[in-house]
Amino acid sequence: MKNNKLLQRIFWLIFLVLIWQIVFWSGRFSPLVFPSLTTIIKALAGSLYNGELTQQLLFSLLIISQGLLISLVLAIFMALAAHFSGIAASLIDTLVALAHPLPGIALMPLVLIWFGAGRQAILFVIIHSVLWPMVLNLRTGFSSIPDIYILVGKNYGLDRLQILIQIMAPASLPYFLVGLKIGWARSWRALISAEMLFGAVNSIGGLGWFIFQKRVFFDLPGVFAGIIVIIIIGILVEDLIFNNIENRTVKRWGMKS
Amino acid sequence: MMDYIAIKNIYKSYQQSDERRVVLENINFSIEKRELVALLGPSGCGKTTLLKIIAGFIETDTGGLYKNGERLSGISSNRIMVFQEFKQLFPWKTVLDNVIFALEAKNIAKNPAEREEMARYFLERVELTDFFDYFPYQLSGGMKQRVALARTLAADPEIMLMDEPFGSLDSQTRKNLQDLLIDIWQEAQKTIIFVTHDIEEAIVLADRIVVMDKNPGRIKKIINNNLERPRNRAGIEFGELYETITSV
Amino acid sequence: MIYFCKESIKMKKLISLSLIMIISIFIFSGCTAEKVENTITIADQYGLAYAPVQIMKDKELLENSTENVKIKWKKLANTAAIREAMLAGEVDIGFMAIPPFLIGKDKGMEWKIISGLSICPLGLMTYKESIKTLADISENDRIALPQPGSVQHILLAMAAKREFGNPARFDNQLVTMAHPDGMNALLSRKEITIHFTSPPYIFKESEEKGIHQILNGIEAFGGEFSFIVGVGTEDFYNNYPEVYRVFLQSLEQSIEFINSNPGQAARLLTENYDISEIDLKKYITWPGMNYDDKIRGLDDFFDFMQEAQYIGSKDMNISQLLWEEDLYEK
Ligand SMILES: Nc1ncnc2c1ncn2[C@@H]1O[C@H](COP(=O)(O)OP(=O)(O)OP(=O)(O)O)[C@@H](O)[C@H]1O
Ligand SMILES: [Mg+2]
Repeated sequence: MKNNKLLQRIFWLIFLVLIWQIVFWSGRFSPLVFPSLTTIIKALAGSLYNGELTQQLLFSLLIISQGLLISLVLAIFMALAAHFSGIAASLIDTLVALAHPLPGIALMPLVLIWFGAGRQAILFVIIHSVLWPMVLNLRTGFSSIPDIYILVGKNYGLDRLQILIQIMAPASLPYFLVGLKIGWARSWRALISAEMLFGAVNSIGGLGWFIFQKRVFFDLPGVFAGIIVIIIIGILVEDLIFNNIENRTVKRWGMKS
Repeated sequence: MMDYIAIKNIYKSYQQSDERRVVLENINFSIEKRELVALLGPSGCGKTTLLKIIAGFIETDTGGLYKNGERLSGISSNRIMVFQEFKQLFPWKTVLDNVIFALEAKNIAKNPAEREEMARYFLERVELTDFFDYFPYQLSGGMKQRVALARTLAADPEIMLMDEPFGSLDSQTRKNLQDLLIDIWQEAQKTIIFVTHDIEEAIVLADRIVVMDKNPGRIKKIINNNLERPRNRAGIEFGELYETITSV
Repeated sequence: MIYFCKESIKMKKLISLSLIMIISIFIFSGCTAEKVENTITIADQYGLAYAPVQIMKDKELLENSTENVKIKWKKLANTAAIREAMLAGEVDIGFMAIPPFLIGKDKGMEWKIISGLSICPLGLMTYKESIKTLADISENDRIALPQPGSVQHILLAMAAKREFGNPARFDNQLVTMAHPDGMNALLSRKEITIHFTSPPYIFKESEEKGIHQILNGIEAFGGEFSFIVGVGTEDFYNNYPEVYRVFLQSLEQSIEFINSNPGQAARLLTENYDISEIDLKKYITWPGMNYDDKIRGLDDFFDFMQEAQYIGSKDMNISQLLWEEDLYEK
């Protein structure tokens, strides 16, 4: 079943690639607009080989993991505070209502003035795009934990901290994972677009900066190479990491349909 | 002589929309050590409420619970509740781990290996030998209630509070579990308070039956059940007792 | 068994059918933005360097002297956007600096320069007292400029080559910022210590206390050069010779207008620039600010960019870079 799915995916990928190449061969479009597969693959291999792309990719992934981690810790604290205190809940809900709908990119001009164009600026935008959906999902997660689990925990003599770790954490995991997925998707987009719009944030720059550079030097195969890397990372994270975590946890436990 | 457990003068009311509704009125009875007492009454008479009060989950308006003359308050792992709901098991733990949870929580046994061995024992006790590594969602309702029973036994409480644990099972499964409970009770020598609205279940299980009525929830009568064990559901005396209770 | 075979044949049919359909849609339908018949689109950017284009538009010089042709005006945020729009066939004439034009040409864009537009004071500005010359710039300084490959970037590289023999010396310290963002970042005196800028931002920054200039454009380039030029596509040049002519005349007219009536020009322009009439007049007559349709500095840009490998090594003669050579200044 799983194998079959993989085969189908590979089939469709080859199908799309084939169409691409046929369109290129048709000569209907200038190669400036529609470069051939070989030039794209050459550009990709070249950029990977000279280490430029690899470094920028690592930089992007590093800063995004950092942003995710910080947001995670913040979100857990905020959601817990809101869960246990009414005042904190109203404050945090207000903050979420204000900040959640605001695209990180819209904040960028201000962020540049507050933080400069450095790492912190990008980090800020990433945290902004991850934190709020994360808090929202954790809030829902905590409040949808059935009372009975907590009662059982108390009945067997667990203290508050034990209840938090042994019961609330796994019981809200499905929501936590949803929050993490949304957070990942949003931060990945925020990162790429922030880098593309506002340039390198250190001497190396990230994947967005790579694409931007290719764009300003009018190197379309290079732009495609960058896009392919983004797609591959997206698939890897989605299929390998998230699906794996889900299969080992919530799906295995029957907590997700 | 001092009672093992004494329930004295309990009143409990809830605010419901704009009126205060008395749910339990003047509840008094006592329980002896290793006794199996059934609370029997129609839906809404406050059985669950009373059991939760005994477990310490909710407070009374007046009155309280005494053990050997001393007032008990708060939740305690000495009085463990088995709920009516199947979802009382932790879905993220296997059957075995759900039982180990109780052992860990009460710090029973010296090391993980020993705990696992004990957990296996309790699961075998409730006849769930082949399902150690199953997750709760893979079990039937009856199996889930068996695991809950094993978990409670593993925690080794003095008093087990059982709130219609077999209420939503088919009659065959139910009978099996009733028999199993009696075996375990006789062997483990626990005190059990068993809530039910099924007269037959009360007669099969209990030494004493506390018959309740509703609006407000109160005790109508306490009936001793001295039928010889194992009890024969088709016996004449069984039928007579059934009649007595219905006529209350 | 038979059932399965049928099924898979059906599947194959379906797939090949959809393949054919998709491909034909791609190939036969107009997928590139189809050019609307008889419409000429002209694109420029924000900034005082583009003032003659604004005048041309406001006075409808082009509209008044062409027939049967619709003129559309577009403002785009940066050179890359103009270049892409021209590639897509959406824009016929675009205004930009010489280096981005050369990069596009090198990559195969079918375009050439029509005319010059302006010569402007450009400057590398800093708030750091300690930076007096290029040599004082440390590794920790960050330099804001519009984008790699922009005229500012190439000028910086030219200066770096002249002084240190290494055009790429500052390449790892660049931060891409549009001029207003770059100015704000510089004025907030944080991480961006240096800004390579152009009018009117250079005027505003030089009027700010504590901000000074390290280098100007002429020093960097080693002479005068056209800051902005007008570039036309092959399609436009071949199909609209009439409009080409009229365009050149109108451009000359509006340049002439600004140069001889700066006061009137400032009044006209104040609506479109967020600057007062008085300041505008001051800015368009600032020393070093010249509107001029000659094309200057093309060879030096080309030679330098080729040597520093910003463009490839194939040689081009002047007729490959200009549609017509009357305005070319060696
Ligand atoms: N938290 C609460 N707030 C308000 N009223 C409550 C609450 N819990 C229970 N009640 C009311 O108290 C009464 C007794 O409820 P309880 O659950 O104890 O009945 P029960 O005897 O267990 O019924 P059943 O056999 O249906 O389980 C009901 O009328 C119910 O509406
Ligand atoms: Mg109940």
